[in-house]
Amino acid sequence: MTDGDLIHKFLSGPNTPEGVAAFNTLVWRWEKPMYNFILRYFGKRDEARDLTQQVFIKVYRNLTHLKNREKFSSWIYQIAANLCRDLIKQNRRRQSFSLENLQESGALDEAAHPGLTLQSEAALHPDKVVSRNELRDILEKALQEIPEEQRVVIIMKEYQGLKFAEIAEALGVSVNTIKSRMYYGLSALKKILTQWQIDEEVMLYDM
Amino acid sequence: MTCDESKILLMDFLYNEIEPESEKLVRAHLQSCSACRSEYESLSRTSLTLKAWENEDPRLHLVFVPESKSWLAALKEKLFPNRAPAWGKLAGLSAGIAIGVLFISALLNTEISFNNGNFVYRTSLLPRPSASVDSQLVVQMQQQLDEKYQQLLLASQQQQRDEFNRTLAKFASDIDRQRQSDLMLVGRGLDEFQQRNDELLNQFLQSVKLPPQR
Repeated sequence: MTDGDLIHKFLSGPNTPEGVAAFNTLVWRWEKPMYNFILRYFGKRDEARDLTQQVFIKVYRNLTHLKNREKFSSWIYQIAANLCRDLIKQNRRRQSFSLENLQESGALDEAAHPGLTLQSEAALHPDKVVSRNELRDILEKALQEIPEEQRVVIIMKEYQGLKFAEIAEALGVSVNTIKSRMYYGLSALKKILTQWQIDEEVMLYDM
Repeated sequence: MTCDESKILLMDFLYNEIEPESEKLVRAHLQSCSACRSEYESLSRTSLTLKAWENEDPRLHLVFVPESKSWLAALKEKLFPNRAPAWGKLAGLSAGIAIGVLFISALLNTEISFNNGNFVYRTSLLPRPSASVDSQLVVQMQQQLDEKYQQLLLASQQQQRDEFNRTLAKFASDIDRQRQSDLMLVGRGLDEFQQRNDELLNQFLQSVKLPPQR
């Protein structure tokens, strides 16, 4: 049964047992992709859980407004991306005051260059091959380093496997803009990983 | 094809979304331009590196449960299974209008009454004059009541006094009558005594041959 079928079943009887079951199947299908998308976009596991729930609540409330049921994928990513963007904006506004204080005291120097700590860890254990978990942490930090608009495109392409056209639809920009963001995002990531002396050959070997 | 032009197509090429025509162009460019070739290779390695972060299991297991309907909603659905929304709206609208009319009526001191087959509808922005008439009436009635009470009290006092006087008079006359009878008895007793004395004296005089005294 396709997502479109499930949506049809849900909308034809939202309060019937069949409708509820159809919606829960949809949730069950999309729970993991949504969580992983939000986690990579946002970087925090607890908040990613909350946001995933919020995404499905929004889906539940607004599914009737979805005109083309075949475009559910782009639509749900659009909801998730908007929620993430809003929360990032909120957090930034809340943190702006405390950030100024930190900058004055110089406490932010280290935070601005997490590569320094990673580098020193690698220097402490030169013989140790970077493990998969460590690599995950590195990638998590690296993704947070690049601009948000590039990050979301990279996540949608690399991890969610969306077509460029679908990403363009979800984010409401042209396909060429998406491709350009993809290119610059990848280049930025490559640069960061090289700066942090993450040897691509080593990582490939470990995988 | 310039290096700048190739950047967009490079993305199509990397993610297998390229048209066959464009693919030929890109391949040709990569063969001729070593800078773009090494760029492509490093980007492709970065893309591969990203894959090291595998999907995680959130263990969320979200389940949506339908909201339990209120008894009113259930009743509405039972009563109007097909036209529930329209009827609901209509009922809500008319209830709203009714409440509004009642509220305004209350503000305008509206009075509706049914008298001898006629409906009387009165409204005024001022307090009803009948209210003050009512209070006057109450005061009057109070006054009347007070007067009546005073009258009754006086009457009762008068009655008590009359009763007392009557009893006193009766008592006095009783005593008088008793005295009269007593005096009569005493008088009669004295008469009898005198008569007997006279008889005894006469008998004595007769016995001593003296003429009877009178």
